[in-house]
Amino acid sequence: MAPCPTARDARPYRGGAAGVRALPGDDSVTATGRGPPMWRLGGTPRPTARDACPCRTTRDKFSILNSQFSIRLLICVVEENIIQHMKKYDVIVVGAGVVGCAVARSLTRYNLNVAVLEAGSDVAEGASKANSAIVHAGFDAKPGTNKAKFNVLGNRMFEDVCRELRVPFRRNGSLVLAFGEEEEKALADLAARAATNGVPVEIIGQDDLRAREPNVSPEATAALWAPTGGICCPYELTFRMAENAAANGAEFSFDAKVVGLRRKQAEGAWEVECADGRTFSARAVVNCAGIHSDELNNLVSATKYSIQARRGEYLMLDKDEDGTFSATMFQVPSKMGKGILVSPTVDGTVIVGPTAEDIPDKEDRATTYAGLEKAVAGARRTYPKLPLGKVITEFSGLRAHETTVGDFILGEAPDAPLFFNAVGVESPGLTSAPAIGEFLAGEVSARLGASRKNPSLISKDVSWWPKTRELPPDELADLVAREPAFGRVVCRCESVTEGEIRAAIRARVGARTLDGVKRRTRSGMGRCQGGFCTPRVIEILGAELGQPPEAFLLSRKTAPKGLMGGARCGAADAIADELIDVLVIGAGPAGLAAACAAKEDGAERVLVLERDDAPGGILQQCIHNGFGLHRFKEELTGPEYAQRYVDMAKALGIPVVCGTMVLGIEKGAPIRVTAMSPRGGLRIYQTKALVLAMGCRERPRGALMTPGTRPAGVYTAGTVQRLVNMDGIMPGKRVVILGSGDIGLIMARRLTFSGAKVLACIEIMKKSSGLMRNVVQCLNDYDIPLLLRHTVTDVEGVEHVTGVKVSEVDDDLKPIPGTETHYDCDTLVLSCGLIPENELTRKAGVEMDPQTRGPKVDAAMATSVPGIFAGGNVVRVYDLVDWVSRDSAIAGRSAARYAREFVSPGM
Amino acid sequence: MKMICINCPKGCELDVEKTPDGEVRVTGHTCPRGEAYGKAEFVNPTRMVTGLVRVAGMRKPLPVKTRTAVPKAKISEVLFALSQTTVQLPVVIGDVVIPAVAGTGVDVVATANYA
Repeated sequence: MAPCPTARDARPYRGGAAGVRALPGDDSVTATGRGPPMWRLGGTPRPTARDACPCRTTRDKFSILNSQFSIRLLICVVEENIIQHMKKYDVIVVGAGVVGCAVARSLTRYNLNVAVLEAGSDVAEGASKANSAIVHAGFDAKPGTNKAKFNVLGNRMFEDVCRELRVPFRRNGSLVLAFGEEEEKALADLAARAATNGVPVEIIGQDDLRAREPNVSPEATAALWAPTGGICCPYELTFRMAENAAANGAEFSFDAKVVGLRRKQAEGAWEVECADGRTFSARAVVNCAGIHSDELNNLVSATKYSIQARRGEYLMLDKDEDGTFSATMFQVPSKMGKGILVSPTVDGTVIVGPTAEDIPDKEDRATTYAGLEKAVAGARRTYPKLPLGKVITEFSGLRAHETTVGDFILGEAPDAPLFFNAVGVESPGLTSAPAIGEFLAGEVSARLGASRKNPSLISKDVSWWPKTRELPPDELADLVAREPAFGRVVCRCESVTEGEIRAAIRARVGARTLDGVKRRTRSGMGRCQGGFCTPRVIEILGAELGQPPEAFLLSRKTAPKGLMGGARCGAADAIADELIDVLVIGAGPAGLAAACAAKEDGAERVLVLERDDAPGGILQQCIHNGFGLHRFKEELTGPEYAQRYVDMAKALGIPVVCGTMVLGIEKGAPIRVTAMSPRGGLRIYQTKALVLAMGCRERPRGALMTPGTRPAGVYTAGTVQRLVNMDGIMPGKRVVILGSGDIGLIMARRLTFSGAKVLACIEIMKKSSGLMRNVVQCLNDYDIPLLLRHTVTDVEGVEHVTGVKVSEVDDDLKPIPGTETHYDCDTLVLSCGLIPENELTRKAGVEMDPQTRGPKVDAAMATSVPGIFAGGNVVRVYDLVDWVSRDSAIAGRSAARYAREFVSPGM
Repeated sequence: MKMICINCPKGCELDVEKTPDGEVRVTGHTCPRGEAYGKAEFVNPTRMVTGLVRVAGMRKPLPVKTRTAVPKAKISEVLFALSQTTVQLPVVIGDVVIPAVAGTGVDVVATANYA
């Protein structure tokens, strides 16, 4: 590293530089996903704003000087001097939520130097990341208010803005449900209000409602239909607004909490002071500080405002629920807000919530039992069959409710020249954001006398990158051939590739945290909630940003500085294009056993596809002993057991293609399987018979509905197992384990062996769900208490877990008040059950068994679809791998038999 | 002395006692291995230890095990020995990583192939 004076935290993101670049032709692209054919992942990762010393940029600019140390040093000193002086801008926007980013983007349309200061470590860290994601039609805002005006204006702008920014938006329409006569009257009032606001609506009867939305409660008697209502992705919108603002010169500084604001009359400028001592100067300041916007205003203006934090708790349902409702389902609004809604999202999940509760602490984003229960009860009015088993996560957001005016306060403060407010922007703030941005940018530029930029000089770049899950097969194949990183799937639930994650990190306002990657790519947002992808994402973050991977586990915030990270590699073997006899998905103990049995039974062309970089499946990380007593009549460890099968497959000449993710299965004769790998690109395998052996995944925290904050330090046991046993990373020192599944028990011992203190293992049921032998040799041997009939009732900590509360439960498994005990811990490990992983199975049209959550199979392990067989934990969760291999071998033999009798329809 | 057999998932509840003539008697077992476990656990409890050792030049650790069970009282010494060990590649399953670990006479061996 360059031995130069560093100015930590001083360098903002440079708007002009580009990490991810679209090549010429970018301006012609549209939001429908057709990217420029030659899109490329930019060359090198960018230094972080926080760890960069100014000379890095200088070095980039004058790379020819790279070896000329003295000149470099000189330039560093010069830049250092500049930085020690106050940074001067025309406009400083405080807050990088959706409103701040919209304002910044609109401001860059004028000839103005713009900076954005954000207290958090990323854009969209406040209400913009936790809201209903609804683009409101505007029928319920009180006529004449800013809320009504900007809602309607913003709603009209959404198509264009989302097309320009290339973010998803759907006008799915909104329905407000009335339950009985009383509420039908309220609908009529809403319709009248809508007419005044200029919003098209229509009242529909029960039959029409049921025809449109078959899953709606039969108790709903009528509804207000507002076709202009829509849904979007709020954090993606915010992030792309920031990218486009940065492309047009706006500079972003994070961890920059504004604490001081002074008008320097002589200079005609505002001096802005941050908590860490950084100071900035600007001719104008725009207050978009969301929940804290009252505090900022009250620093400079005698017109005082007061923001009340109004918490809303939400639940998110799995993609299985996609299509349950086509419109956003509201109920008749109350004084506290628009009530609890059930809505599809642009990502295919279903969102439920929010509650509305005024709370004293502006940072309290914890979920609560009471809140989640209220959200569920409210949602069940609309959707009586709401399946709790489909909940994948819960979260809460804080509305910035202004109590003195009760409306959006927009514009220059009366007694603070060139200080502009966007105070009290709660719902419909997301909808209004583009219009607020235009309005405030207009006001600011008029007061500063700034001219509009020549449109040809305004960049349309938004650091776009292809989303592989949305690409048509031919384009995906082209992309992977050019950029192999887009062929390596990292997040399997949401199908996010390494290329997308690298692009998200290399963007102008790039991801610097696990959460930053998550919100930009959806990696970790699916049903396993990061269980599988977290170890991989931190590895990529580490490699891109030059830090050790574990640094990214420490906190929700930016990782500290550190040493170099590692690199990855992976390979796919070439395989034949001919018709395969038996294709097996998964090279764990189930898949390999099926493949070996099929081959031994006479199937000639047997092929195994594996998503990991090596065969063996989850056994690779199960380094403890206890495997193989039945199958091999000796006690083996997981890797040893796996190796036996890897060797057998090798001896039988069965190719195992690693690093390959199956994306789809098309039934028929032959069956067609689409798979992707970094080296092989996108290919279609044709097979006579197919064996599904994808294994299972763990239940994440979201599925347990454990209330509390959402800090770093909560992992499923399998994730911890992978981190400790394969990546050499210890996630914490003081650990509480929730659930007594076998992996949890095994990890209690492993973490103890590795130097951690395991405080307790908490089990809600009357007996351990894991094997008794594991209770004895993993808990009892090390005096780790097993608390039966107890559960975790609160998770504490903002950035990282600081403790948990544990309560006894009654016979209905409800926590008993007054039985709470507190544990100081830095890690909560969840071992609360495994679920067969059947995304592909369902897509293939295989009939499922609601009990096992796997496919229905007969004695030959045949599914309901001819030619498709299944074996191992994908069928049901086994307690012993020996039985996995035994039953999966049956599937393999059945598949071989099917292949022998196969007659191609064309012959 | 009551104990739960850890040989297999059945988890039989054993009752082990010393008869007046000095013989150790096990009841409650359902197989010969259970009886042997009960006796051993009464006289000298032992455990197989599985763990990790560092690999030179790699972040990923190597999984290892004691070839046979070691006395329970020796587990922490075995773990300490593991923490002090770095292996060089290549390694194959069964390679001795630490001979006769912690004075037990039992070798620590590799349980994975690392090329």
